[in-house]
Amino acid sequence: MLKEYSAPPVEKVEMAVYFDPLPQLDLVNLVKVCQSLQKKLGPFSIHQSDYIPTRLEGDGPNLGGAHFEIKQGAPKIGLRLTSEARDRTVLLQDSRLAVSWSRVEQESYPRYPKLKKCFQTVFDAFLSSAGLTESTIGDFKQVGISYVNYLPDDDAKAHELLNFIDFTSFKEHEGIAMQTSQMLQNERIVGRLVLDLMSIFSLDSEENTVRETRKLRMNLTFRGKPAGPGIDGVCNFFDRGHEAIVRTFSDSLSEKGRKKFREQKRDE
Amino acid sequence: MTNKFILQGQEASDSILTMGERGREYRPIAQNPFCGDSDELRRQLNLLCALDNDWDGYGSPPVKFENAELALRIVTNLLALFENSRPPIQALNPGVPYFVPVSGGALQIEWHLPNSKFVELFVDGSDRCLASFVDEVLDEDREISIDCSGPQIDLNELSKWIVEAMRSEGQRTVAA
Repeated sequence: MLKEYSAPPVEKVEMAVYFDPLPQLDLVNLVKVCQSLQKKLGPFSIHQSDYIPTRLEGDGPNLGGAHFEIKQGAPKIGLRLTSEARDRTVLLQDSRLAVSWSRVEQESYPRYPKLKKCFQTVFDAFLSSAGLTESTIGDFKQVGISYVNYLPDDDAKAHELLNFIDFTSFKEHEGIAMQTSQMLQNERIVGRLVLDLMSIFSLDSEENTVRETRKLRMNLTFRGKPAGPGIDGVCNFFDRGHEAIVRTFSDSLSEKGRKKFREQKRDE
Repeated sequence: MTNKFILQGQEASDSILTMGERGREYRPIAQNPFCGDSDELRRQLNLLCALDNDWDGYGSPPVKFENAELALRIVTNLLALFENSRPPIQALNPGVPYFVPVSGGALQIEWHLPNSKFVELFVDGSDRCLASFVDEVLDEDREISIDCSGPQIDLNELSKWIVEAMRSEGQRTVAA
């Protein structure tokens, strides 16, 4: 049974699919697709995205380089749709569709089922806007789901919310930077779960000004190739990833962390 | 991405290679894995570190590597602050600044912000950097001195200036 948190530290959730580059999604058509998505999804603005490398998972050991990046020559143009409230973004490239939710103020995390449904809605709208079908796209090369959590760390004690970091010998520690991963498999490899911890500084709004605050960023990402075909295979992969991410998050929390994020049993 | 901590700072410093014996060779000033998308910053700073001697006609050496390294640290930390923030503040990211060489091996970092506002930092190798905010429309300027001697640099005031200037652009657009 997965645990539920009534005050989860989730800042951003991203769900993405990668497919073979589609020649019909050149820049001109990408703009048309985005304009069509605007009509279907509501008030979204269109921006050119920064270049984002694609990291594909291999089945080999994760030695850093095993997360090889596909640069495919020159950086590819991507377009990003951003909602008016800035809480939702859609990234479109000729080989990628990514949908993300970000916390803007203190609003509550919309929960996974709603985010998955949102992804499906955008995916369907993308197919119809681009005049594509699932068979045109072919196999999904990779699917990924990522949760970005910010643990408050003004006193540099965020590690006490976790049960696997012991700083007995580093009482005045200056920051954390670590990454680990594991392959999840049953009878076959399902995907790779990556845990990434990094001390960061960010700006928080404070009335009319901003304040620099310290946080411990905890990224949990699940990436791999879905077992089943089509969007159903993608959604099954997201379900598996979500389960692995929540379970890992729960297993990582200390008693202090459970209280802080208000752990409770999930109503299912 | 941030490189606020001493270990990361040391990594950046350790990888600095000073000018070669022939005086014209140079290498990337930093190989800091925490700098993320700082390729463009490094490219620009490398150019300034590779200026010819007497580039200003008054016998000045090129920009010193330690000044370029400090500039890289300040700018990457500042941009990371915006990148790590929530979307409304992320949208105020001022982007990559201009780097201007100054005679004597010093360096000036300049953000030209909307509505004739400027944020500038003077990096000359001393422990403190002079930062200034100029609003040409209101004929207002402010100055502070930032302690850059430790592993962490307090960029709070600088980021406040930038947010203030970038928000004023939003207000101006709305008013228009």
